[in-house]
Amino acid sequence: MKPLYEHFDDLLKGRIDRRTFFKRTAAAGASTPVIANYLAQPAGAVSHFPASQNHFSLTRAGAQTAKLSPPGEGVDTSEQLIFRGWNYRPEVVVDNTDKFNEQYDENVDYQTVTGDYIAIMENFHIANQPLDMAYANPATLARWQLPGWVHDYEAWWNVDDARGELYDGVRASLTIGDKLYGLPYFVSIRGSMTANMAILDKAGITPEQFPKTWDELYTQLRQLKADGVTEEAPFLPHWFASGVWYGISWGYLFECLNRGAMLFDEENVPVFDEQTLAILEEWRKLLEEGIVPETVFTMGEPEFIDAFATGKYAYSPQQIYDLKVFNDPAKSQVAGQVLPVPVDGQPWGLIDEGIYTVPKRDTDTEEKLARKYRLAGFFGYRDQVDGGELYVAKRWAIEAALNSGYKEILQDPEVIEAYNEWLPNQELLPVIEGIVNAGQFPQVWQTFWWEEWNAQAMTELPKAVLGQTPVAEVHAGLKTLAEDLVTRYQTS
Amino acid sequence: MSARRILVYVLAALLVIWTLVPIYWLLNMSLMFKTEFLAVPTHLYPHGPTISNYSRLFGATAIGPGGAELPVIGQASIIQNGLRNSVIVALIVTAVTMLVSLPVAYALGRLDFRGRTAMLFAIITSRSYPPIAIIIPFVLLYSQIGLQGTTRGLVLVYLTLTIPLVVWVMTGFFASLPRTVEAAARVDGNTRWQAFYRVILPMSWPGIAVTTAICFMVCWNEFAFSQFLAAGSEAQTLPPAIATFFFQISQPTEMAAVSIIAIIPPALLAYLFQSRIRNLNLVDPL
Amino acid sequence: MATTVELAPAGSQPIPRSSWSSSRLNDTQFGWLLTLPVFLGLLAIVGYPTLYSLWLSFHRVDLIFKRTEYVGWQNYQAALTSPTFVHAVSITVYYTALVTIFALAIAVGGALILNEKFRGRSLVLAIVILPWAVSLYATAIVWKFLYSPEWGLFNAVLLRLGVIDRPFNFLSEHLAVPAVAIAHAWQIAPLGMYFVLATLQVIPEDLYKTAKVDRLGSWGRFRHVVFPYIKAPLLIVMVLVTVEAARVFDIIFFMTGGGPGDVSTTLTWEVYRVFYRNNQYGQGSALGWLLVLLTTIITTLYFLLLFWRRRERPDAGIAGTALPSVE
Repeated sequence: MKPLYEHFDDLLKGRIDRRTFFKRTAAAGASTPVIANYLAQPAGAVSHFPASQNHFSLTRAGAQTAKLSPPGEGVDTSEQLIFRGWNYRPEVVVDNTDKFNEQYDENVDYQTVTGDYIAIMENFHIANQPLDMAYANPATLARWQLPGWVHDYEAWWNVDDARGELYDGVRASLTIGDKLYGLPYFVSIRGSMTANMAILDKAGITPEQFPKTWDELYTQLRQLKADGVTEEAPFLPHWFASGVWYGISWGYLFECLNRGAMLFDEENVPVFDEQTLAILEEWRKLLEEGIVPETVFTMGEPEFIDAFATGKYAYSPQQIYDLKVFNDPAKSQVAGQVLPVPVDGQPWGLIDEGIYTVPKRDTDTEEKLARKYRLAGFFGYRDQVDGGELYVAKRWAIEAALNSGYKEILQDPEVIEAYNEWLPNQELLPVIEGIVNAGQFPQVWQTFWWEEWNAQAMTELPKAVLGQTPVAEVHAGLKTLAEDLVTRYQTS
Repeated sequence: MSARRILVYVLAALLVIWTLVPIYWLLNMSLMFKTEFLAVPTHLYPHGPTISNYSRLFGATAIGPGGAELPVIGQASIIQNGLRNSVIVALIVTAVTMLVSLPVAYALGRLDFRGRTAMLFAIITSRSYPPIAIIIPFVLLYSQIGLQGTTRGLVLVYLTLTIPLVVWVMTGFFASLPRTVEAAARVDGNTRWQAFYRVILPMSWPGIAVTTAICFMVCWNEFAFSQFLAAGSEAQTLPPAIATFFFQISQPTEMAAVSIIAIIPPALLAYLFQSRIRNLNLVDPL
Repeated sequence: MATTVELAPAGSQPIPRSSWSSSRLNDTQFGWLLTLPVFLGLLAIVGYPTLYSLWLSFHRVDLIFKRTEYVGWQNYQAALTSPTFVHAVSITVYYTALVTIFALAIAVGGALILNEKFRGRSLVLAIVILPWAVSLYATAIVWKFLYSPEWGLFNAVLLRLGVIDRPFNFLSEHLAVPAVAIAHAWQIAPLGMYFVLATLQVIPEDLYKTAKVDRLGSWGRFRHVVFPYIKAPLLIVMVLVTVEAARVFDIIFFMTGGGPGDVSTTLTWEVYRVFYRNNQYGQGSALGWLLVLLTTIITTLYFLLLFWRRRERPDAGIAGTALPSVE
C-alpha cells in the first residue's frame, strides 16, 4: 500500500478526486501503526529556503558524524544548564528535573516562560541569552534552525537508536536537511473532534451517527439547532484568539487540511484554492446562524477547555489529550460522557508536537554540549541510569495522556492501563489510535515564515468571520501576505 | 429622614456595591472547587466552599468533592517566587524613588529657575512612552551587560517609570504650599537645604504617603517589562507568574485565589493611605 | 501648619554658618543641583534603548539574520498610510476618551457622595479605595470573569432575573471597547475620587451658604461653587488617566487580545503585534514613536491648560496642585 503522502500527491495533481483520496487515506491510516505517514515525506521540505544563507552554514557545514561521548564521571557541573519551557504541568517537569539532577549530580535550572512563549524565546535567541534546552513546536523548530540557534543531535551518542524508535512521521517532522534537530516531548492531535453525549443523547444521536466529515458535522449541528436541543450555540470551534499563537489560525489550517482544501502546495507556495475561501464563508454563516458562540474569539485556551467542560456544547475540536480532562469528575461537568469522534474517512485536526531543542551558544564547548545532550536525552529519550526506560515520555502518557513520539509507549501495558482508567469505555483506545494515526502534518510548518503568517492570521480570520472585513478580502489578503513572506525570505 | 438623606444612603450603597462586586466575584470563585465553578447555571455563591485553592498554593494537598486527592498547585513554587520578587522589587524601587524624587520635585515645584519648564515637560512626556515599544532595545542591552533576568535590571527599569510619576505628582503638591514657608524657615536660621527637610517635608506627609503608595503599586502591578526582561528567570515577579494560568491548562479557581493574594499587599497599603488622606485637610497650608 | 514667624522681606539672606552652604546658591544653581543628577541617572538607563528604538524606526531591520537597511521615513509613511494604523489610532482615542469620561464621572460622583455626612462614611471611605489596589492585570482577570457568558456574574444574575434568556456577550464586536474601558475605569477611578474629595473638604461652608442665599440649585452649586475648586485635581487626574489609558497594554492582553478581530486593537497592541508577532522591528518602533507623538500632544494640551490656569490665578501652584490653594 502506498503511504499517505503519495495519495495526497495524487490528489494535488488531480489524479484522484477527494472522495477516493479519503477512502484510500483512511485505509492507509488504519493499516499503518504509524502516526501520520504524511510525515514520511523525504526531508526535502526545506529545500526552498533561501540558498544565500551562507553565513549560517555553521549548522550545516561538515557532517558532524563523529559522536561525542557521554560526560565522564567527574565532569564539572558547576556551570548551570538552563532549561526553559512553556507552562504545562510545571510540577511534573520540576520533579523530572530534580531526578535528573540527582542521578547525574547535575545542575539544571528549570523555569517556565509564560505568555507569548514564541515571541519571548525568539528574543532570548536574538539576544544570545544563555539557554541549554527549550521546548519548541515543529514550526518553531524550523524557525530556530535556520538562523543557527539550535544544535542538531547528530553528535549525540544515542542518536541512531532514538531515531530508530521514533514513528516515521515524527522522525520526519524532527528532521531538517538530513539531521535530527529535536527529540519528542509529546505528540498529540489538536482539533480532534470531541463529542459531548450529555447533549447528543438528548437528540438521540448515537456514536454510530457521529459525523464523518466537516460537512456532515455542520449539517448535524444545524439540525441540533433547528430541533432546539441546545438553547445556545451547539458548537465550540477552535477559533479562540486570545493570548496564544495556535488558536483560530490553526483551526483554519486543520479544517483546510482535513477537507483537502489547499492553502499551500507541497512546495509551500501559497495556493489558497476556492475551497479554502468556501470554508471561511461557511464559518461566517455558522456564526450568523448562531451555531457557534461569538465569545469564542476572546477566549484563551483555558477558557476554551473550560467552556466545553461545562457541557453546554455538543461538539468541539480539542486536544486529544484533553479527553482526560473532560472525563475527570474533578474538572468537568460531563465526565464519562465525552467521546472522541473516530476518523472514518476524513482525518480530524492536525499533529501537534512538543519538541526538546538544544540551543546553540558561542560558549558551547564539547564538554558542555555533551552535558546538554545528556539532559535532552533524559527528557526526550531514555533514562540511562535507572533501567533505561523511556521514563519521561511514559510518565506524561500515564499522568496527562500525552502521546509520545516513540512507538513503544502506546504498547506499554502500564500506559494502556492508565488510558483505560479514564476512558469512558474500553473500545476507545483503538479509536484514539485511529485518530492519531490519521493525523495530518502541515508541511508549511517547516517554513521559516509560518510563524509570521500565523500571527497575522490570528487577527485577520476573526475579522472575516465576524464580518468586519469581507471574507474574500481577508482571504486574498492572507494569500498576499504569504506570497510577500515567501519573497521576503527568498530574495533577501 | 429627608428625601435627600435617603438618596445619599442609596447612592453610598450603590458606590459600595460597584466597588465590591468584582472583588466578591473573584473571592467567590477562589472558594469553589472547579466542578462547582463549571456548574450550569452559574452559582452566585459557593455551595460547597473550600479553601483548597489557597492551601494548595502553599504546599498542602486537599480532598476534592468526589473524594479524589487534589495535588499541590503545579505553579506553586513559581507563584511563591513571584510574590517574593514582587515584594523585594517594589520595596527597593519605592525607597529609592522617594529618596531621589522628593528633592527634584521640590526644586521643580518651588524654585523658579531656568530650564524648569523644559524639565517638567520632559517628565510628562517620558510618562507617555509605551514600554512595549522600548522593550526589545532593553532586552538587547540587558543581555549584553548581564542585567537580563535579574532583579537589579528590573529595579533600574522601574525607576524610570516611578521617578517621573512621583516627581510629577509631588511637584504639584509642593507648589501648592504657601510661598512664604521657606522665607519664614530661613529667618529662623535654616539653610535652603534645611528649610526643605525640616519644614517643607514634614508639611508634605500626606502627599508623600500618597505617592509612596502609588509608587509601590506601579511596581507591584507592572507586567510588560517583567514579562520580557524577567520571564523565565529567578527574578520573575508576580504578574508574569500569574500569567502562567493563561496557558493550556485551565485552573480558573486557582487563578482566582492567586489574584486575591496579589491584591492583599496593595490593599493593605491603600487602607493605610486612605486613613492618611482623611487627615489631608488637617495639613491645610493656611 | 501655621507658622508664627514674622515674614522676612523677600531677598533677605540669613547669615551662612559654614563656608559652603546651599543658601549661597541662587535658585537656578540650587534647582540644577537638585534635579540634574537624577535626570542624568534616568538618561543613563533609558538613553540607549530610546536612541536605539529611534534608530530602528528609520531602518528595516531583521534582527534574526542581522540585516539592516536604511529606509528613511518609509516606516512612518507606511504606518501613516495604512488602514490598520488609522484604525488603531481611532480605537486608542475612543478607548482613552471612554476611560477618561467613565473614570472622571465615577471620581466626581463618588467624591460628592463621600463629601456628605452619613453614618458608616469612614467605612465606605476605606472600601472605595480598594479597586485602586487591584492591579490592571488582576482587574482584567476579574472583569473577564464578570462578563463571561459561561460563568460570569452579570449573565448569571440577568438570566436569573429573566432579563435575558440566553447568555449575553459583553465582549462582542460592538461592546468590547466600552466593556474593557469600564473595567479600566473601575480600577483607576478611586484615586481620582480621593483627590477630588480632598479638595471638596476644604471648600469653606460659607460658600455653600452664599450659594443658598443666591438660590442656586444643585447643579448651580456644583457649577459655580464646587467645580472651580475641583478643576485643579481633576486636571491632574485627567493627565494620569488619559496617559494610562492611551498606553494601555495589560488589560487588553488579558481581556481581549485585541479582539474580537481587531475591534480592541489599540495603538499599543498594534505595536506589540507588529513588534513581537510580526518581527517588524523598524515598523514597530515607528509606530511606537507615533504613539509617543500622540500622547505628547495630549499631555502638551494639559500642560498648556495648567499654565493658562496659573496665569489666570497667579498665586496657584506652578504645575497644578494636588491640594487646592485657598484664597
